[in-house]
Amino acid sequence: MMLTTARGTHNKKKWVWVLLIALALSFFVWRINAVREIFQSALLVVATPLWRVEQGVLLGAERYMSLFSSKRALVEERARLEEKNASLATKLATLPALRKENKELKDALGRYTPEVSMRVGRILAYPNRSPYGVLVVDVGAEEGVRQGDIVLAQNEIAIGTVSRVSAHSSVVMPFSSPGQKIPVLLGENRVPVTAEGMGGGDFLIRLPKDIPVAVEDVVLFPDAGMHVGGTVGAVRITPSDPFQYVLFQAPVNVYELFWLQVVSEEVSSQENTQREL
Amino acid sequence: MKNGMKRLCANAGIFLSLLLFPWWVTLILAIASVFLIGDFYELALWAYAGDTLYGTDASRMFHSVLLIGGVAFFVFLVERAKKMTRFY
Repeated sequence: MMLTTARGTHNKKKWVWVLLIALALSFFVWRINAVREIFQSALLVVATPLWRVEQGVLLGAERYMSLFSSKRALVEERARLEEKNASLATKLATLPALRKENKELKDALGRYTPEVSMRVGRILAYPNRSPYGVLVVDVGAEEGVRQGDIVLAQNEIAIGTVSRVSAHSSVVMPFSSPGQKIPVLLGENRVPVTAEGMGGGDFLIRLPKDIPVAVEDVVLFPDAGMHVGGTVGAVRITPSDPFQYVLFQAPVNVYELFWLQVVSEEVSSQENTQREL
Repeated sequence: MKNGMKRLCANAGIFLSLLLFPWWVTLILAIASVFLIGDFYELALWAYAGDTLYGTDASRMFHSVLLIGGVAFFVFLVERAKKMTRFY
């Protein structure tokens, strides 16, 4: 009888301790944001070198494994890449002229076009690391990155936005994160619609059937400086449904990238005055 | 393996997995640790570490509180379940 009572008291004490610790921790985390910052900095001190070593090992392994590729496969791949390169070079040749013309037209119409600065960041952690599906890059507030900055791949493809900034690292939320909604311009007619992220660089658009959409139509992200977001991969139409479903994908696979570009709008006092006027 | 050693290995494993492996590997390790080690309440700290490293701005503040509280409550429930199970 005595034993049962002692055990019961012990259990009660344990309950109270658990509850107290949980409450104290919750209050601590919720109330004092600085604690989080310190904790995060301490974690990043350990994590960043480890992530860098991991990237180095992965890159080294990839290079080492490429030694075992057959000669024929390499020749074939080289020919394919040369062909692709020539085609891309032709397309790219018109780009600077078009950009210049675009800027001149905007200036002529009195539209404010902000100057931007670009920072190159190395990917430290890929979206599969966390259930949030985010990327971690090694540039942060000290390098001039701000929350809301646009993140590009290969200087052209919009990947996401900077969601949280630390001193030397930033968390990037990809546009394609599941449930994320983003306004896009679809196809040659630039139809404004809303795309929903499906994860892994995939997006879904639901729009009326009578709007013409074709496979390989380009999708632009107006909120990300009119950068390319992807190309249409498939259009799903069913006779009973008044809507069509457009699936599009980012032209790059995030897992194959090592570097990203973070684009920030340069805001100077002169520009601020111009903007106000 | 002694209990203290087991606990240390589990903590080191979860920490490394948090940094180097996909999140579901960490989740499996965490659940296994809760069942294999008694009173594994430090899991709440690892959950918080994961949230601090990868959490977005939208997932701050109250989300962290819920996360820590939820994990601690999960460990507590497992401990209760263990006591009712003959296997433990």
